[in-house]
Amino acid sequence: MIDIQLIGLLNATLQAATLLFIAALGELITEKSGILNLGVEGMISVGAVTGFMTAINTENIFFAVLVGVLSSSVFASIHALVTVVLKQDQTVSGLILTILGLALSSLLGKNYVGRKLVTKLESVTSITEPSNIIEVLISQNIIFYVAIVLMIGTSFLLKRTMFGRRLEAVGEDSKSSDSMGLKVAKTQFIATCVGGAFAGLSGVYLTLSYVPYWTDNMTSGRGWIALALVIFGGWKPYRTALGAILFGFLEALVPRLQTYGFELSPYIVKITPYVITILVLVILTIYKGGKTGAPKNIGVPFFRENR
Amino acid sequence: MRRSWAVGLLIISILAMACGGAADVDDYKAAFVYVGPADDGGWSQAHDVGRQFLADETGIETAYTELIPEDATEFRTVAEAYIEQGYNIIFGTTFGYIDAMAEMAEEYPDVIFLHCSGYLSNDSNFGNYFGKMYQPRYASGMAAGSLTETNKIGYVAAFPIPEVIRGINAFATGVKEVNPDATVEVVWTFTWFGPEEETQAANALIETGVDVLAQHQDSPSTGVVAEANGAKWISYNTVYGKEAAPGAFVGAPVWDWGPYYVDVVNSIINDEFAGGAYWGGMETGLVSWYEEQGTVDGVVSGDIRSKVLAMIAGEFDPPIIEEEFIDNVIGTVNP
Repeated sequence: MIDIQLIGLLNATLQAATLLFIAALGELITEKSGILNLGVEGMISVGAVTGFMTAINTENIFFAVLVGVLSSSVFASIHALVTVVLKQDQTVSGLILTILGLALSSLLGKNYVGRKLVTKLESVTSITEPSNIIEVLISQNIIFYVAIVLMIGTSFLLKRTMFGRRLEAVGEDSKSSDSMGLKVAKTQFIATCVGGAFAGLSGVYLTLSYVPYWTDNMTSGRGWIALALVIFGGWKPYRTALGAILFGFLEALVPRLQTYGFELSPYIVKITPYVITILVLVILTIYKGGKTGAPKNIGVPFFRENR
Repeated sequence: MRRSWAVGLLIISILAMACGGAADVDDYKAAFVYVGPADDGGWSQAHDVGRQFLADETGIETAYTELIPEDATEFRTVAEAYIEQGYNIIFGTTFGYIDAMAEMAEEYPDVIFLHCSGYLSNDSNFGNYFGKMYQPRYASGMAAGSLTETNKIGYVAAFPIPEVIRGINAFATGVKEVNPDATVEVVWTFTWFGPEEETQAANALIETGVDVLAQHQDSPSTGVVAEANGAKWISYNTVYGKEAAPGAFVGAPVWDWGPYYVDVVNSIINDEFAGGAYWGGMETGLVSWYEEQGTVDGVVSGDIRSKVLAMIAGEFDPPIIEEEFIDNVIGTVNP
């Protein structure tokens, strides 16, 4: 019996981690360009509801994923428009995006509350009851493997490609980048929309697989944990993935500790992700002289005229 | 000339008011404040169905505002707006409005405040109301006890507070009545509404080998997990959640606020209302056990019905235990 529970814990950890990781990875790309987007919670909701609605109406799962990803990306472009083109405050715009996204998803999903999904995102292999770690790893949902590909791809993109270099340059020092002839606004706009698309993928994973139905406030705070995860991961894809697994593990642990009969309060486990994030920030500040890995220009609007 | 007309009108209207005596329904307007969306398929929707019943039965003008957080200022803003518009009966349908309602009841002695699930009241314009949900939970426990083959039942529960604990104990007492060998395992989620937390908790229970899941939560997550794992599901609040997991759905302890809302509004109109606390059991129809036909064995179903009738007649009441779990429950009331 304990084997089944350990397998279950591993499974649940990977599911919770996938949701957090994809959204965090998207935010990482956005922040690398110097744009802080606090609207992750809203963007996940928009992707989650549009994906779910499409799946109910068309019963075409891949089309549903596509719609979820694209609509969330379009939704993120509002933030890009406000902060990159109109140069307004990124914090305010991001918060508005969260509030707007949650409200919009409630409105859109009004007639879809509690409806049963016929087609879901399925596991890639036919193993329904994995009995060892290998089987757990190969029986995950397709989005899990997409997340791994995105992780490797993003790391490669940031380190090895021209686009990645430009992205980093813009995020570190937009004025110099502009002098060097880089298109600051265009790069930031694209990075914000890509971040939205990733959040959308996270959203469709939520409603088409992990918790397969729609109800108001589905995301219940996952977007904020994803934001903490970016900081925890020091703006590095692999470390963010590690953090996602840790945070996902803690999330999976809360109910399971109780069934295992441990005497550890679930309240303590619940606050751990936030405590760890703060600790990481404190440790980095003390030992690395404040080098948390944050792009230097984050949150600072770029005015060409002020150069 | 004009002035005497005005005086005459004034006298007539004063006379009309004095002679009017017994008020009628047009003198009252009732406003409802919900914590969730009015169509959440759960707690708030149950209240909204009650509001519509009230409007249909009495003809009183009603209004509602949804998604108002459990926050004193938020509630006050909404309630004051209603009072300005002439609403004089305010229903607050979640525990967290308690302090705001108590304060406003003093400030607005002409407005009636009715608070669901609270413990404060006065003897004039402030009352609280709730239902004995542990009674139908006992009935649902009987159904669960008869359905389990592994003799393991899981219970996804929100917070370790008296209301939830007495519900679990009543449920487990019902389980014991039909199946003394079965256990009820409890997992706390620490949220009334958290689709992901509820999913994780339900999965954790499935992993321990339970084949029937019950819940004290407001989302249908537990049902979706039950359906995916071939388990049975006892829902809560309303029957609307069953669409999400039709294959697993057995039944639900449900709220029906409508009759109470009609009674209390009639008592206000007839000037009989005097605040205080109201705790209605199955005999009032406020709480009941809904059972999907054909999901429970016929004999057991009959036994459940006789217990329900005994509860309605006041001949039987499940024990109210809120300090600890009874012996067939696995878990802790002090996590």
